[in-house]
Amino acid sequence: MTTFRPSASGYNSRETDGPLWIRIDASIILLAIGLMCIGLVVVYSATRGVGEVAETGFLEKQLVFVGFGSFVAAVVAATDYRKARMAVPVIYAGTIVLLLGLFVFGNEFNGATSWYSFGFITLQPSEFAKITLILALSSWFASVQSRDGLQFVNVMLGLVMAGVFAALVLLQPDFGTVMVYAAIVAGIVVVAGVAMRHVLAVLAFVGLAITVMIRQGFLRDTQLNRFTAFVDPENAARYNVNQSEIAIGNGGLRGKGLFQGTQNNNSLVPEKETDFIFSVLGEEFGFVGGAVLLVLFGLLLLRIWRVAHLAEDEFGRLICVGVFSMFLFQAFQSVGMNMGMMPVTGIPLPLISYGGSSMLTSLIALGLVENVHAHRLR
Amino acid sequence: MEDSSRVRLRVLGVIAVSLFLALFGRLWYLQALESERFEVRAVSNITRSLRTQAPRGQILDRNGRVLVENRLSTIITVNRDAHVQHLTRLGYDTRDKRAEFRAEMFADLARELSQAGQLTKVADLERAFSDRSFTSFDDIPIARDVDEELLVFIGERPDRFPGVSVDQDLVRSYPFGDKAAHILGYVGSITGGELEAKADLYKIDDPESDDPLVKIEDPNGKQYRRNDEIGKQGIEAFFEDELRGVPGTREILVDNIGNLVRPVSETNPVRGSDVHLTIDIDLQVKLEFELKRALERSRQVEVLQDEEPFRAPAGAAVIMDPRNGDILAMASYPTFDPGDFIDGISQDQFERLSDPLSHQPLLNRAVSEIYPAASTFKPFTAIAAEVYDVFGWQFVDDWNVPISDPGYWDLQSCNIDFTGDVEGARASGCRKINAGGASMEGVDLRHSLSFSSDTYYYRIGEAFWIAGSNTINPEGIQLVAKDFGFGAETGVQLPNEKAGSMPNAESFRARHLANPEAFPRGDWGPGDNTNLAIGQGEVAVTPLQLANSYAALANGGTVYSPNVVAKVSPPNSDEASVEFGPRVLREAEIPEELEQEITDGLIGVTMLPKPNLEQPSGTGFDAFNAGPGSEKWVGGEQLDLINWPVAGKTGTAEILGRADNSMFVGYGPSGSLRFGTSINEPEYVIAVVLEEAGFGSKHAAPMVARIFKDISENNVDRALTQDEIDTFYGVDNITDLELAVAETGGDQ
Repeated sequence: MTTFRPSASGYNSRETDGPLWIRIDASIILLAIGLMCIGLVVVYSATRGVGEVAETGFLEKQLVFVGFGSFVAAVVAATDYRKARMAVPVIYAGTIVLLLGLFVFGNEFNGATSWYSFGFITLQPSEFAKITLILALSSWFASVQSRDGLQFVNVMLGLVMAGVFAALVLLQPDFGTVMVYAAIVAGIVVVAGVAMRHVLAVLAFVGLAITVMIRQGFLRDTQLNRFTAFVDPENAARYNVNQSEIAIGNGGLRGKGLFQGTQNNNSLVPEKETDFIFSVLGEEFGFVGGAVLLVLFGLLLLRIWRVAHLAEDEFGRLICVGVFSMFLFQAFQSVGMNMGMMPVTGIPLPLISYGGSSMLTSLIALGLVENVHAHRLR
Repeated sequence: MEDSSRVRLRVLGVIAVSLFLALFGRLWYLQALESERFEVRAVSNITRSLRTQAPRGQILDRNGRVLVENRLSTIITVNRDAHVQHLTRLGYDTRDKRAEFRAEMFADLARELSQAGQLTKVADLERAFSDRSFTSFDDIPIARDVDEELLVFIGERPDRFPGVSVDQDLVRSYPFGDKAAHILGYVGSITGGELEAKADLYKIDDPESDDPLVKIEDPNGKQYRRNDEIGKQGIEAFFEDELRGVPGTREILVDNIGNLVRPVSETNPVRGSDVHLTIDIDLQVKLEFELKRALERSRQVEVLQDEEPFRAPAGAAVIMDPRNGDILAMASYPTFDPGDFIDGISQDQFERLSDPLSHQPLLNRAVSEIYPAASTFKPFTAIAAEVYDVFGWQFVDDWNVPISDPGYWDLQSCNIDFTGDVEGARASGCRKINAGGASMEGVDLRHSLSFSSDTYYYRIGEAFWIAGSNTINPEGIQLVAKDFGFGAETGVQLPNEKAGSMPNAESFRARHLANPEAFPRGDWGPGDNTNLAIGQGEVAVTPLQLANSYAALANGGTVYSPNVVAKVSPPNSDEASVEFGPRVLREAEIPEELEQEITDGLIGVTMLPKPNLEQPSGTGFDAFNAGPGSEKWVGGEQLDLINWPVAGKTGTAEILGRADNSMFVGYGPSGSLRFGTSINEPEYVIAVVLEEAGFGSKHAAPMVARIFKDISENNVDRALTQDEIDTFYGVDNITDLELAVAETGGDQ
């Protein structure tokens, strides 16, 4: 842990010493700010309405989320992840309680009981559970790796930890978020070095489980519909995707211009400030805007990947891998769904989509990555 | 860091790169390659093109009286989309719940409608609601002309009748009820086939397309959509293109749930052109009235035990102006009410209207049914005999030589002497017998027409057949008949006109070869030619052809293509866009020396009294000279024939297994010095066919006499509209009124 590193290997003293604001990766913060700025503009465009007086409520709330999220992220970044590791079981248990509590105190929206409502604000525990999942899995696989290797039992125990979350979220039901969990698990499991035969065994089991769920009608019709919409053009859920594709295609290379998207202004794409936010960007800023967004995401992922690469311990690396997988999957799934190449699942586009829980989760995740970057050599 | 860990991290990186490449690819595809296509869809996404139905043009009679117009009708509609949305707002969020609600709503609606006087079944409403020819956004009509109170009732209860609204619609209106129904025709919703046929009309060559002919929109902007109204019969169908207006369009911007944001552009609908008929509605009503009455009267006649009863189920009549070919009135019985089609007619009712068992009320018998011409054909046989030099040939005496008619004609071709063997002669088919077997003396051409001697024409018919083999054209009769318009469509502006048939040896043989079982004989024999000469056998004509041929007799030989339409004019304009002047088809030859003889023969039909007990009178004499109270009265009239002489011909067509068809064709005023009257300017021709109604002299002739009586005395009643009838008489049903008049006015 305290191995001497010559500066030639890419590290300089600035990264190991000095105050936190010097030891963090500034480019991650800049990229995140860039994405959030785009997000604020697009959320405003999607929610300002077409009335005489522009609606600014969504924008104001989103600004609050960004501000609060940034603060929380800074706090997360400042606390050495290794010292916080002992708190992981507590966080895990707390998350389970929050998820269970939904069945008693939760509010239903769009057919899923995924929210706590506190009047002016709603919380979506399944979002925060992503962070918990990243921490818990990273911690578990890092420790079993160093203690007695990745035996099948240990792998399965890790998966059970994730499975509990997945099961609770599926019951809400929120299939999209479970897919994000799966991506996180996949990333961590792969990088942790789980044997391929174990992976295959698990995959077979999961496949079986999903089949049984569908057979037993455990998945609701709306979910199956949405999920198969992209292969079945007659499906009603296909409408959303169609309209989203039209919006993006309508943008062309340069876009229709801010506030000028007809698909946006006429609210032809449903849930355009959250799940279908990319369609608004695509329509109003065209290929140029879409490409800038993807490039920013790409660079952000690259920087996160770099931190994973730099991490000195397995726990820190796996945290970064979990965050990387989460961002990668959510960005790909959300943008891909908007363009009709992925199934319709309610997954927000990180840092862009309107929503406090999602914003907070994304920023905490980035805070974790910065944390690893700042504290890796300590 | 371990090497394997690095490798695994790289795997993750590679996955990320490939996923992002995929996103870029798709983004490029949507926004660069396919962008144009999506832009078009984005525009159509927010614009809706709504059509406002254009009023159809009016149909007017020759004096400008409106026969068909449009009126606003209050309708109740249901909109599937609005219905479901409203119900969902009310909390009926599943299909089953909504269906349950709907069942109750329809039951409510049917009950309310029925109580308000519109008998409505729940099944009707359900059928309308699920009619797939309407889209979810269409307002589907479910009831029409609804009571005011019901409108309020429904309007005030949107939660009880979600998606149900009250609207106004233009529908056809018939001020004279069912009068002239066959001429006017009716309108109905366009069928899939009609829609396709209409779309097929407009095609252009497009060299760039695989399909050489590309369908385009009607350049006049009249293209049809589903549920559009289209003319189905009569003038409504024949002048569909003129009567149909140009629908208005409204391009509007809509939001995602179809609510109007703002209109983009609007063009107003343009009313269709008006069609001005040559029909005189006063005469039309008179004709229909008399046709119906003549049929009813003959139905009451008791026939002898072994004779076919006079069922008189159907008939047709036409009045024309021989000076220009205008059709002044045209009636067909049984008839129908075009108003029945306004709401869309039920399948049952439509089948009843087209069922042969109910005598096809929809059929316009005046142009679409064919009948044997019978004795009305004789003047043309006579003309042929003179044109082709049959008069004076061997056994045929010249036209001015009176002969003695024993009541039958033994075919010379048979070469058998039947003296004393009456039964044998009848059985052999070689003896042709007069109708009723009547014998008469002093029969020259003129009297042969007045008395309707068959024998006189049997001779001519056989002469054509015998002489045909050497000197004389064997088809002279057919050629003359065709000149006068038989065997071909007249070209009247009405759909489904029949050509009739004018048989000859060739058609006879062709028919036999095509179907030897049904037509065992292939050779045209002397019997066929004699049948032809008296308009029997295969000679089949439409009542319009009959009237038109006599119009030519009346006007000296000018054969017109009859007009039922005078002109078409754009709405609110007197300028005609199409004008039908007299359409002369040809001049038919009437030999000069015969013209007066034929006319006199036809005048004799109405004016020659019975000289003695052995001799008959003119076949129409009783009908035209016997007013009520007269011993000879047969329902005819006492006309002032000196001042308004009538030339005419009775016809009695024999039909196997049924009573005879009763026919009369006549024109007037047409006099001759021989009868002490010099007025000879025929203005009216009437042709009448009464199916299964007996002798022409007994039913058709009196009917014509009654009409000519009113015409000659300038006494044709002004036709009353349904509104006027209701106001004046307080009688809802015109039929009741007609019967009342018929019973009190007739049999005294």
